[in-house]
Amino acid sequence: MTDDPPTVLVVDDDPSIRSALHDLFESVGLRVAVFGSTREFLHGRRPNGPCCLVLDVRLPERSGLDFQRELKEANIRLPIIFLTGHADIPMSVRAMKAGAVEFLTKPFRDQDLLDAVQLALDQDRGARATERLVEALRGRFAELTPREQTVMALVVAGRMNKQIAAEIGTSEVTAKVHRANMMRKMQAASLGDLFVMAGHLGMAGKAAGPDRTDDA
Amino acid sequence: MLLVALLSNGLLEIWFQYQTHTSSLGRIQSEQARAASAKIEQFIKEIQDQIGWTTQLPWAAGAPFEQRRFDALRLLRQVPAITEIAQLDPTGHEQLRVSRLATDVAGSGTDFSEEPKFTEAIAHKLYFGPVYFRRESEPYMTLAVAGARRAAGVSVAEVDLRFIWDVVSQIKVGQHGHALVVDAQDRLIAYPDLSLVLRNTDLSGLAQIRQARANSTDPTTPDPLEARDLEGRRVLSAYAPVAPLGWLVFVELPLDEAYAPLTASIERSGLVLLAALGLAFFAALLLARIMVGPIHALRSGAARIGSGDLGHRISIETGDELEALAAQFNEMAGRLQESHADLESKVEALRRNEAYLSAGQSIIQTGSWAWNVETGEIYWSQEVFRILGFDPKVHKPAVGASAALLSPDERQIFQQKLEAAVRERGEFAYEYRIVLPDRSQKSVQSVAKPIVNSSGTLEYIGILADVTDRRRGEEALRRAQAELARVSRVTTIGEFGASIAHEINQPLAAIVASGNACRNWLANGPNLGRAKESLDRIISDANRAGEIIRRVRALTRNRAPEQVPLMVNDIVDDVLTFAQGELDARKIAVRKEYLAAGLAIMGDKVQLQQVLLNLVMNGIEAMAPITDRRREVLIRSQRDDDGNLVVTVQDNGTGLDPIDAQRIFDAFYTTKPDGMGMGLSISMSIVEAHGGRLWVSPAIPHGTAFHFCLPAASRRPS
Repeated sequence: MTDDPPTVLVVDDDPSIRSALHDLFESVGLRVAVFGSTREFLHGRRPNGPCCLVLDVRLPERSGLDFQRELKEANIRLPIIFLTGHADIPMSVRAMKAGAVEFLTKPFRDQDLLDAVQLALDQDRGARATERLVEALRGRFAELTPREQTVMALVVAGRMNKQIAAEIGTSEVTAKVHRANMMRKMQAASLGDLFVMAGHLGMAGKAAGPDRTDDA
Repeated sequence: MLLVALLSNGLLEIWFQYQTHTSSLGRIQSEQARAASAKIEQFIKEIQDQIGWTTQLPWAAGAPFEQRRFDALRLLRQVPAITEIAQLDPTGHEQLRVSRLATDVAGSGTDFSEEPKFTEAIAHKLYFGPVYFRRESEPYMTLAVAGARRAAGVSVAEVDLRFIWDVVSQIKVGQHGHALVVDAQDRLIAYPDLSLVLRNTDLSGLAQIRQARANSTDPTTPDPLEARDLEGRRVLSAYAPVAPLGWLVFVELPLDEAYAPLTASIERSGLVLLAALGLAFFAALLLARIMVGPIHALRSGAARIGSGDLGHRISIETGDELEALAAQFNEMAGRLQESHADLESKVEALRRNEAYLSAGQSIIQTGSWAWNVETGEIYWSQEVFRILGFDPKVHKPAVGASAALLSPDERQIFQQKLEAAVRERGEFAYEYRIVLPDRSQKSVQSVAKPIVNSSGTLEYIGILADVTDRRRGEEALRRAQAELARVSRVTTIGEFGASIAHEINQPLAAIVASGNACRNWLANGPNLGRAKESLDRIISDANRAGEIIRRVRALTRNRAPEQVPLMVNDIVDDVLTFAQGELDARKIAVRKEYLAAGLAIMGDKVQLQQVLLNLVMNGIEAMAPITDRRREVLIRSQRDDDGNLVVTVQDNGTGLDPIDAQRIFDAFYTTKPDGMGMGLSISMSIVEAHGGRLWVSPAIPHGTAFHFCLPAASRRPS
């Protein structure tokens, strides 16, 4: 799977800012896509590669912060760097809590912006890798028999073989077989590995049922 | 008159009395003199007769001697005055002498035949000898009587004239009067003071005697004569001759006594006259009291009333026409006093009114003046003098006097306006500045109305108002209002501060970004084409930032309002430049309806921007609580039916409470927790200063609409 080169997405209603940012990012060799509004952004094609969003806080129709929430709700994961003409602290706190990479006040030092962009791109790159891993884990998890999925959940929950056997109503030996099959199918080299995988699959530390892994 | 009459009457009476008295006195005295003369004559006659009796017997017959002697003695006894009697025989010889002093001598025979006493006696039967004084003291007279017959001889008697004294003494002439007798030789024979007689006094020196002698030929009885007697007293003297003897009898009355009755009468008359005079005087006094007094009172009263003492009343109680006249005078004076008091009160009221007027003029710093165009007569009130800085005692009102205080330019305009007003007989109004002698300046306003009286004389009546303070106040107010408007504007801009900062930050951020890009293009490659593009954007953005700063400065600059042609849509766009950020931040959509494109107005751009900013800000705040609908502000410009511009700023906010709507344009009235309450008030005054109107109305279905209308540029009064 080949990724597109990293791309900076810019949403700003001010054409001067748009042009200047476009120019600036290009001058450091980044791919740039600019949008005059959030609607334009949503309708545009998102590149398949690491990217980040440089978002003006104040936009006509809806603010940048609202748009951040909308994206999150739409499960569109994208590191966001906020730009604002005048920032106040509550606004920046809210943005950062909501996962913003950086909150920059215009006019900003270019290095700050570029650093933030780099960080965001790295984040996205990592995120994209994690996402791919999780995809693979989900695939492996899907390969498990229902009984193996149950055993995995019980293992992650910290049950002993005897307990697992009691839970699923088999002998301890049978439970051991299921466990071994599960470990092999999940390509987990150790119990620790399995715990990490379980974390990626959203079942870490919980007695997760198999119904919680249907999402992909 | 009365006095003269009385006096002349009295004098006449006295004169007549004097005449009567004098003549009667004269008569009496003459009569007395004659009586005395007669008595003396009688006395002599008796002696003569007695002697005659003794001279009967003729000597020849030889009558007995003793008989003769006896006769002689009897004679001596019978006639005491005879001191000695001698009988001479016809031959003239003394035959007998019987004397009281000596012994009788008989037949002495002494010859006396040659002596006058014998010869005269023989010749005239009677002889009166001269008076002689025996022993030089006693007056004697020889009286010789011849007998009827020659033979009887002559009897010679020596008569002691002292017996005449008795006669004379018996003559009583008044109280102190006397009689005297002188002989033919003017010697005193008889006089009450015997000593004088006995001294053989010669009286020929006396005036009355000389007079009498001179008059002796005159048979008529002379009038009495005023003369001096022996003792030098003034006497009234009358005389009578004792014919046979050549004697004169004088009866003399002292003048004072003689005229005593007259004097008394005169005194009486005088007294009567005095009494009459006194009476007349008192009568006159009385009359004066009765007549002249009231008249005098009337006259002096009239004079006092005439001299202004109207309170004076004439008091006359004569009960006649004078009293009636006085009553009329009093009534007249009363009416005069009333009308005078009335007049005085009117004058006082006038004076007070004038004082009030003057004070009022002083307070309102407005004087009054009048100018008769035909006669050039000018009146200035005190206040006019004061305003022009003239002294009423020194300066005379004159048309040119105030003009001299004007600058040459204004003087010319003043003259032209005045001449035009006079020519058209119209009103005159001009406000101008004057420079007083002390170099201080004043703004004065002169307003006048023409008045044409019946004779066609044109007169201007006007006021001169000192409007310096008013103009200064207006100027100060204008400045204060401008300052307030500016402060308000700055405040408003402060409210849009974030918005404006954003507006400036945008190009600045772009400049920074482009600058960094440019640097990168220059460092990598270098890519000069891209670098130039970056620089172009930098310049463009810098200009944009500068433009925004210029607009903000224009809004906050302290400058005098100006009147320039403006296109209202440009102003709206400018305002939205400032407000856009705020509108975006509050998620407020702006809708613009420019329906009056090309309509120009006259006004001050900054002030009108301020009004719009205010209205937009109000709209923004009114929509703050709105969450259930889209926030929108509508800005519309349109023409009304009269061709004027109407601008509407409408929000769809909470709307306005009707109570607030009534007071919302008042100063310091605010519905906002942190509002000053000046925005709309100032907006109102700005719009009104532009000859327009600002009002509010509810918007349908939500919110509030503010409207202001401005006269189109062509319609704006200059």
